[in-house]
Parts: sequence; C-alpha cells; structure tokens
Amino acid sequence: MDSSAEPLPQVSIETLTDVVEQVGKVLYGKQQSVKLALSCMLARGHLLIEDLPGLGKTTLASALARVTGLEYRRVQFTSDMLPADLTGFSLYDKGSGDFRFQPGPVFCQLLLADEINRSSPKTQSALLEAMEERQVSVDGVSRQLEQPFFVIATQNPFSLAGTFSLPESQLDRFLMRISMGYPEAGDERAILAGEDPRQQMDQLQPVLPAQQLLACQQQAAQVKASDAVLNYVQRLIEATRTDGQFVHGISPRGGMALVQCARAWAFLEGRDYVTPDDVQAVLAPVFGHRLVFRQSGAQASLDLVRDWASGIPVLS
Amino acid sequence: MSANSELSRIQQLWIVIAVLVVCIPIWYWLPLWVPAIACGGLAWRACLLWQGKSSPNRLLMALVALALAMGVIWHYRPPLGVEPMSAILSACAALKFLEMRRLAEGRMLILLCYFLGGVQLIFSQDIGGFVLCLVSIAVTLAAHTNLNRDNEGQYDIHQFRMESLWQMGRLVVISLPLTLLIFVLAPRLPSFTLVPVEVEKARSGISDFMDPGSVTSLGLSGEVAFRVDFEGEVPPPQDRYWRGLVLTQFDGNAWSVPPEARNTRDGERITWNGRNSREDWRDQIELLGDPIRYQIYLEPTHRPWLFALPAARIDEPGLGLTRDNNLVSPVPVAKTFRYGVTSWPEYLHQPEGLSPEQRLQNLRVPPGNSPMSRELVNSWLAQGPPEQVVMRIFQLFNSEFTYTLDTPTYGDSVVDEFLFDGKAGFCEHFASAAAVMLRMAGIPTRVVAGYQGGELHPSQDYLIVHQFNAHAWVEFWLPERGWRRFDPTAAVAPERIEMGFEDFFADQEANNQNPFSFAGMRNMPLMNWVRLQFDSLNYAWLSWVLGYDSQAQFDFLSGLLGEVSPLRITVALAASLLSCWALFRLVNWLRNRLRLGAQQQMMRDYLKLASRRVSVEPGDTLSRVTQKLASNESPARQSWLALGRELEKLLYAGSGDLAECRRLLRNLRRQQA
Repeated sequence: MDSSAEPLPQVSIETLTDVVEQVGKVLYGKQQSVKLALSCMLARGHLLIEDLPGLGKTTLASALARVTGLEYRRVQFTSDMLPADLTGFSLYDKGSGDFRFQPGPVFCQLLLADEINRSSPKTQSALLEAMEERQVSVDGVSRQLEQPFFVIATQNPFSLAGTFSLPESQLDRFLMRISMGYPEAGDERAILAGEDPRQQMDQLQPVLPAQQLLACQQQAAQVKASDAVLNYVQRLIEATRTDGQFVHGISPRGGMALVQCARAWAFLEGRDYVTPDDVQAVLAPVFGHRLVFRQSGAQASLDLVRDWASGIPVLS
Repeated sequence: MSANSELSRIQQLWIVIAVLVVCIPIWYWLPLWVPAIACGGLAWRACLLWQGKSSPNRLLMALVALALAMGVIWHYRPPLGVEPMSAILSACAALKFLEMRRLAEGRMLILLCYFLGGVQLIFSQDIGGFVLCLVSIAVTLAAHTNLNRDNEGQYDIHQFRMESLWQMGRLVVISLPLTLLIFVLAPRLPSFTLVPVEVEKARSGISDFMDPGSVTSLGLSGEVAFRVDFEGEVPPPQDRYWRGLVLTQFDGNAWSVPPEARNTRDGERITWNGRNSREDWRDQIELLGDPIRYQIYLEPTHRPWLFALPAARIDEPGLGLTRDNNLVSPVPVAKTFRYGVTSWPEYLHQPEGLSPEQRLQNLRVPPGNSPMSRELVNSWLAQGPPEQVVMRIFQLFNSEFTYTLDTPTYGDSVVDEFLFDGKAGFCEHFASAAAVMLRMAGIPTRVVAGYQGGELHPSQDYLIVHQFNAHAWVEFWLPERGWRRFDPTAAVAPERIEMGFEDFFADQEANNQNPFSFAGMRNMPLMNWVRLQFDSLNYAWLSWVLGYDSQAQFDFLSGLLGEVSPLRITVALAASLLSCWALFRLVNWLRNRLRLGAQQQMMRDYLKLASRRVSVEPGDTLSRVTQKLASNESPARQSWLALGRELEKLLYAGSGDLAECRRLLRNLRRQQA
C-alpha cells in the first residue's frame, strides 16, 4: 500500500457538508439517512438498509459511490446465487494453459447487496466473511479486498416468502441498520415535480475521493469521547442487560459500535468531541438490529429504541 | 407469571438455601433423626435431579411422610407440644422439595420459612439466636425476591448470584432502627412463658434426683446457669450458696425430692405470691441483719425451681416459696427468666420446732443401710451430745479424704464404701455421707442442691454462675437455732469454696490440654477475654432486651418522658420517626457528597435549578435542556445559553472550567431568587 506512505490530507468540515448536500440533491428530504450512511462509512462499518422497494435505497448507495468516487458494484441477490457469483472463480485459460482468477463483483470499493435475504445462507456467509475479514478466499488463496471497502445491503422486511433472514450473529456484522421511510409531503411533491433522479445522478461530482475518505475515517476515530459520554453509553448498555425488556443485552462489540458511530457523527457535526446528542442520534440505528424485544419477539424498531432510550438518564 | 409456572433451578436452589438456613438452628435442638430424614429427602431429590427424573412415586412419598409422623409420635408421645410440631414442620419443609415444581409450592415454602424463622426464637432467645433469626429472615427474603423475579434465563445454575442476599441483608439492617423504635414504644405484650415448651436437649443443670455422680457430670460444663446482678456489694465466695431445691428423701443410694413436696397446690407446701394460702411459710423465718438485693437472669432449665441465696424473699406475683424456703415458678422456666430477690444472710428458719411429719421425714434412713457408719456414729454418740457429731464429721473429712472429680465407682452401699473404702469423692458424696450420719445421730438433716460460688465478671460487675458451679451441701436442724448450713466439702477442700471451682480444678483439668474446654479457654488470656466480652454482650441483651417487660418499659419511658401519657408517647414516636428519617437523609446526603465529585455535584445542582423552570426528562441531553430553557423569552435566556456552552465544554470537550460553571450557576440561582 503505497498510499500509507504519504500523509493523508486533512479534510475540512465543508467537504463533508458538501457531500451531504450533494447526495441530498438526489434524495429529497433524506438528510438524516444520508448523514447516518456517511457516518457509518466514516466509522468503517457496513450498512444495512431495511425498507420497501422504491424508497431510494439504491439511489442512496449509488449517490454515495459517486460523490466519493469509489468503485461501485451492485449485485442483486437471488435464491440460486452461489458464493462464486460473488467472490469470483478460477477459469482455465486455453492460451496460457493455466488457471486465471476471474474476480467477482465483491472486488470493488462499494458493494450494494440488494435484497440480501433472498440468497441462500451459504452465499450470505460468503459476503459476511468478506465484510468481516476484508478478504476473500477462493480455491485456497486469500485475496485482499480494496481499501476502503463498504457493503450496503438492503433487505425487504415485508415479503418474507422464500427468503432467508439473517441470523442475529450475522446482523451484528452490520454497524448500522437504517430505514429510509416515506418522504414528507413537501419532499414528495418535489420528487414528483422534479426531473428524473437518474439524470441528476450523472451530475454528481466526486467531492470526497477515496484518499480523503480514509483520512476522514482516521480523523473521526480520534474524536474525543469524554468520561461523561462513556458513562452515558455504559448506562445504556447496562440498561439493555438489566431492564428485562430485551431477550439479551448489548454485547461489548455493540457498545464499541455505538461509540464509533457517535464519534463519526460528531465529526460530521464538525466537533472534535462527542456529546450525548451524537450518541442518541446513532443509538437507534446501532442498537436496533442488535436487540430483540421480549414481548413481541421482534427486533427493536428504531422508534421503539428511541422511546426506550428516553428513559435512560443522560445528565446525572 | 402464573402460580403454575415452573420454578427455575436457581429459584429452587434459593429455596433450598433458605430452608436449610432457617431449619438448622431448629434442628440443633431436636433429636438427630429429624435432620437426618430432612437431609435424606434433600439428597434424594438431588439424586433424582442428577438422573434427570421427576419426583418419586407418590406412594413412596406418602410412606416417608407417615414414617416421619410416626417417628414424632413415638419419640415424643402425645400430647404433642411445640417441639414435636417444630420437628414436623422443619422436616416437612425439607421433604417438600421432593415434589416442589411449581411457583405456588415455592411460595408456600417461603411462607413456611418465615414462620420457622420465628420458631427459632422459641428455642433460643440469646443474642446469637436473635442474629441467626435475622440472618434467616434475610435469606428467606432473598429467596422470596428471586421467586418473584422473571425466571427466564435462570435455568443455568451458573447464573446464581448472591446479590439479592446482600440487598435483603441491607434491607434488614436498615429496618433495625425502626424495629428498635417499635420495641421501645409499642405496648409490651405478656411474654409467652406460658407456652409449655419441653425441649429435651435444653434440659440442663441440676435435677430433683441426686445419685452419686450426678453433680460430677455437670463438673465439666462451662455453660452459664444464671447471672446475678447485685445492687450493693457482691458477697464473698464462701457466702454464695445458691439454694435450688431441697432433697429430703434418701433411698439408701440416691437423694430426691419427696413426691408430696412436688405438689404445687396452693398452701399445701408452697405460698404463692398474690394468692391467699392456708399457711404462709414466710412467717417461719426470722430475718436478721442487712438484706442483700439482687436480680437473677436464669437461663432456661425447663424445670420450675428458682435459685437464690438463703432466706430469700421474692415479690414478683405468681412466684412461690416452699416450706423448705425455696423459690419456685408455677411453670417450668422455658426462656431466660429474670427475677428480683432479697436475701438475708442472717436468719433463723423454723427455730420453734418441726412438725412431727417434717421431723420424721428428715430423720429417715432406710433400716439396715450403712451398718458401719451407724456403728461409727454410735461410738461418737457414746462420747458426747449429738451436736458434736457435726464437728466429728468435719474432722473426719478433713483428715483423710480427697475431693476429686475422678471418683471411684461405688457399689450399693455407697455411704459405707465411701467412708471406709474409697475416701474420695465429689460434693454429692460428702453431702450424702454427712447427711446420713447426722440423721443417724438423730439430727434432722436434709441435702440442698444448687450452685456455689460464681465468676465475677471483671469489668461489668455481675456474677456468672456456670454449670460446673453445681454443688450439694447439707442443712441440719437444731432446737432454737433452726436450720443451719453445713458444707462438708469445705472440710475436705476449703479452697474449693473460697477460690471457686474453676481455680481449684484448673490444674487438674489443664492436663487435658484441650484449648476449647473451659479450663483451656481460661488459660489463654485472649480466649478468656473473648469469652468474657461475649458473656457481657449476652448479659446486656438479657437485661436490656429480654428483661424489657411492661414494668421496665414504664420505668424507662417515665425516666425519658417525665410521665407516660398517650400524648407524650405520640410526640416521642413522631419525633423519633422524624429523626430516623432525618438521619437517613443525612447519611444519604453525606454519602452522595463524598461519593460524587465536585463536577457531579454541580451537575446535580444544575438539574435541580433547571427542573424548577422547565420539565427535564431523564433522556434529555444537555443541549435539549438548554434549548428548553432558552426557548421562552426571559432575562436569564443568555445566561442559560452561556452556562449550557460552558457545561458542554466541561463535560464533553474536556476544556471547560468548573469554577466558571459554578459562577454562572450561582448567578442564575441569584437571578431566580
């Protein structure tokens, strides 16, 4: 990696606001989702978007890819998909009489895994291995993925026939889970009245190239989380374990994820320290898929998590 | 959770612990087979659990229960009192585990545990018993809270935590001041002395039957028989003869209380205080000189007689005085019993003469018994008047006899064998022989059983009389002089009387080298100190807690309040409750002050001030609170914003200034005021 030799450039906060603004051009009124997705990237995590079709999941992913200038691939997951369709395979080359590795779509910088729950667990776990290890093993050879490497996976929570929902242990690999939701009436109107978003997409400029993104990640990781904030985070974690509403509490990894995301969010807000507001902003996306409500047996929806967290004292 | 839901492993374990903690102090007093059956049941259940089987055959369980009931009936014989009932309850509590599965059964067992915790106090009321009872209640509470907890995820036994026990222990400790308040102020109910508790094991001390060896057997017991609190000077050891009961019937081997003397009917043999009696035995004693006043705290003996110095008068209603000048209680002493006594060291008892029946009884020796002794006495009588026989006996014992705990075994003719053969014995041998010889000389004589001496507590100024102080001596009657005491032991071993039993036998006993024996303890200064401290603790418990009856309460309250009236008691109650609450708040406040740093304290003050103006939810962050505070137009708006910024820096950016925050807060507080 020759890039690590030269110091990473400092990125100003204006650049980041610019990113959010640019993406906002194609996604009306989805500022919050854009910021969450961006902070997930800054925290070096993968993102799961759970929503109905047509709400802009793909648009968000490709817009992010464009403004960051990352190499972008999209894979539509299907039930007959095999791991090799994702990771690639070795092909016999008649000319050289040798096997040549044909890299799969996973060899990119930003992978959109559409409807991840449609594929078989085997394929899912191949992807999840790539996400966790940031490398792929094919025919006994491990191949490093490019840096940075993001996965944005989507899943449709409603038509569950013929799907393989991700087990909790695998959901944990995603740093955040968000859902876009319907746009507000005004934004809806703007979407209807405006031009085709696909054309607008072409106008997006890469304002945050990969090098700068890596620098941002590094800067975000250095954002200060004071004792007061860590105490609050601990109270939250403790509450998930003791208050009996959840089947099981948050793991230490989940707690770390919360702090990472809060740092990234604070960085996006232009601060070099975390406040409980940052924690609360990322709390629902980070904890939502890691908690299962005892009563309903379902994963905690974002609103439920927010409601629950409003009972945990911040200042004390 | 319904009552039908299953108990988790952890809940079951908690109940087992509670039952064991509650029952073990009770089992201590019960025959060994009761805990054996109970623990057998527990082990059986453990085996079944281990093998993964459910509860055993119903028929088998019914048989076990039947065996238990039969055992209790066979052991105790009806009518069944408190002890057999406790045996049944405690054993059943343990056996219930064989079929315990549902929550409802667990709840029932917990209720039983609370009850058994109270039952413990029937058996032991000293401070140790009280502490054990508190511990039992705390453990039961802990088991109870676990029962009401959601039991999901509790099937793994490794999840067992002691936390709830500490919590409940704290709860019990916190409740103590309130308990004390209720104890001091609430009306005292008459104690349940009248519940006939017959505890076999608790029976200790001297009995109404004395055969050679019966006092000797008490010789090694360091248990406390009673404690005495003198109002004035403590009399010297040689005057501390604690009379317990008078044995007048001699069958040639053993001495006993004649059956007619056990008759406690009014006026026949006993004058009861507060009741009209045909004869007042008090009239037969002429009291001379200065009285000695003292309080006795008698440990449970489960027998009716009470101990006191000679010529004792007792004022407490319900107690009685026998013709032989002994004190008796109408019911066996089943719990530590306090009574005040006045005694006169100088007295004349029945100087006018004895009734023919009494005279006859005190002269009776089975015909043909101890021919050699009779010969000896006759030879003495030939040389002088009967009175000088006392002197002769004294000289005889003084010259050739040994006082020892290692007495030889004597055959049927004890007195002869002792006098002419063994020439060694313990107090009962000497007393018995002296009494027989005096009777042969025609002097009415009786044996008195009780205690002699006692250990003066070095710092607390009260006397501890141990079981090994048990003693037997003789009283003989002379015309115009009445009954006189004669202690033949004083002839053989005067040091025994002057120094006390413990010092006299210290050397003999130290040979055992057992550090846990009484002598062993006495020889180690630290152990002795601990023993004495513990005894004074128990003594304080006796005099302050167990002795706190309605009279003591009245005295205490009138000393405290001036007069005892409902108004004053109400005021005192309210004042103490208020001060309890204030103390609790103060302790909490101090703890918070000490625990919280200056910054946390400042945050607390900030929130307090803020919540006076706007509603602050727990989940509100600093920025949201500031927003709320600044949203309404007020002159303090700018100050709140400034404080919010400064606080954010302080708390989160690590660059703020605590002093500055405090200054802003103070200003705001002044503005608010």
